[in-house]
Amino acid sequence: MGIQLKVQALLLIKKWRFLLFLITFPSLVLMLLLPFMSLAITESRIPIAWADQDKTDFSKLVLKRISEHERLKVIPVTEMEGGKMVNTGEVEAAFIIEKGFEKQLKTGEADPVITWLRSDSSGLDGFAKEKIAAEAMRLMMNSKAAEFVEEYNSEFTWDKAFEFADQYWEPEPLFRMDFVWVGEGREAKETTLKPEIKGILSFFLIYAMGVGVALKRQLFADKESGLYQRISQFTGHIHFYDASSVLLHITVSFIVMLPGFVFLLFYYDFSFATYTGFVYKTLIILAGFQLFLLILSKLIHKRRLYFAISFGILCAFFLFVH
Amino acid sequence: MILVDKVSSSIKRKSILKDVSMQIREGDSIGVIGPNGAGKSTLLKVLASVLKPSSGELRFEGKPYSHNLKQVRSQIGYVPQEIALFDELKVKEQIPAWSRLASNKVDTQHVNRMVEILRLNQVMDKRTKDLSGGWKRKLNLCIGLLHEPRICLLDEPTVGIDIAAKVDILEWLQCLHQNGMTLVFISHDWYELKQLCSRMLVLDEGVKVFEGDSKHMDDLLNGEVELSQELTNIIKAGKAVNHKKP
Repeated sequence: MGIQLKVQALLLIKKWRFLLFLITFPSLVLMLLLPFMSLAITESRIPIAWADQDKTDFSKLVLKRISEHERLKVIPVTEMEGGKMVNTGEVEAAFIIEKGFEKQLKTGEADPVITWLRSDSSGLDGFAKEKIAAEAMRLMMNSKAAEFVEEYNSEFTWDKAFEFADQYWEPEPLFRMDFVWVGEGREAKETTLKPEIKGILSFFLIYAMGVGVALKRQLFADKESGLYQRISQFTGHIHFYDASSVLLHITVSFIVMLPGFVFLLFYYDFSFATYTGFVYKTLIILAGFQLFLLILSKLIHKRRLYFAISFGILCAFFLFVH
Repeated sequence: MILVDKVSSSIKRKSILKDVSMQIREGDSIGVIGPNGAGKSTLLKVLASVLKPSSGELRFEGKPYSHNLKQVRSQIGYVPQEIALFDELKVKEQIPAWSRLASNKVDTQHVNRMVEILRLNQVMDKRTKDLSGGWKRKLNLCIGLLHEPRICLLDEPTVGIDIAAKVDILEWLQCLHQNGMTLVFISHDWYELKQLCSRMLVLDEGVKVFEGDSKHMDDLLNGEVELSQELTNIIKAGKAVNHKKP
């Protein structure tokens, strides 16, 4: 097995220019496409107008937090401008933070303190409303908690208690409900990855799978030249040849994906821990796909038919991922 | 040594070999002749266990092939007609790679001797795909015999190569045969076959039409065996070429 692996690795290394191209090509494509991709994602965010009439710490904090949301595009405006923008359809909705917003939240009153302007054509603003309401509720609950603590424990000031209560909302609320959607026989947890990262990862994954398909070209060439049969006759069996090629192709596919992972880690400043799960999943998908390709190549002897089926499966996978 | 009992083989539902029976004894040198598509290469592939017969039985040392496939393969050296080598490797990488791949332990002295006789040391630094046809054939032959098999199955090992290379290969094979190696040799060259083989097997359209000593091949032309016109022409042409040779 080790010798087969060595020989096949040696043969691959001999084609180092081709390998280098395989590895660098997706990174180059990514670098060229990334500005356009980021622009497309920014443009696909839900636009909302934000008119802050309170201009307090609380209202500024809510604005800051919702502006950081990847699915919302917040445009700070005056109340008049907000109304106009809703009418012209420039934004999905306008949210007007009334005077006394902070004061009211601190007292724990839930009377309307945010005015929500929308038109008949608004469709996606409900999502923004939910997010703003959640932020307001967070501030209100923290305020009530701080007020309660300050009243019964003189060691804590209101600010200190507020800060303490707020830490339970980071990185996610303490009693967060984990929504699981079930349908058509599949079950999935809501992931927290940004859409552009998902896009980049799926691009790399499909590319790596495509590389795996293309690398099987050698197997067909070996069959056509009689080398495959000769190795089988010479070594007594073909299992080591098959196992070596699968191992090597998994490795190459994974190496092809590595620049993508490294790039994402640096570019988006994510911790590696966030990606570990994806790295394992990727490895499992690539290994499974290679095994599938091996079985396919054993069943199908015509090179063209093999490639047609493999690329058909890749296209189906691409559609499934998106 | 090898017993072939009513072996048939089909490829894509087309019958290539039909009920062929024969026996290969230790030290035999059998020449296989026949027109294109007669089933010569298929017979060799079946003997080498590269191809499974669709019916019939093959026995090696009395045991069915399927029961001791690994031993069969370690004792048989198969030199296919096509150049089945790692194209990208240099000759000096190719030989050690196959030596390590072999199921038997390969004797370095034997390899060196083969390299010397076939003069492969002249092209050690060349990549296989850059070699001429003759050198590729020599290398192909060298690889097939690396593991010192007891039986060697050769499928037209000298086709398309220059006379000097052909002489080298034939002399080497003669030498191996004299040292006890069993040979089964396919060729269209009558002269080669007569030089190397003591027994002849004639195939026509997948059927064995003649098996016997090479000196009895004349019987074929005396009408004792019914032959296709193509086969008769091949044998006649072969004999004609033979007469012209010095």
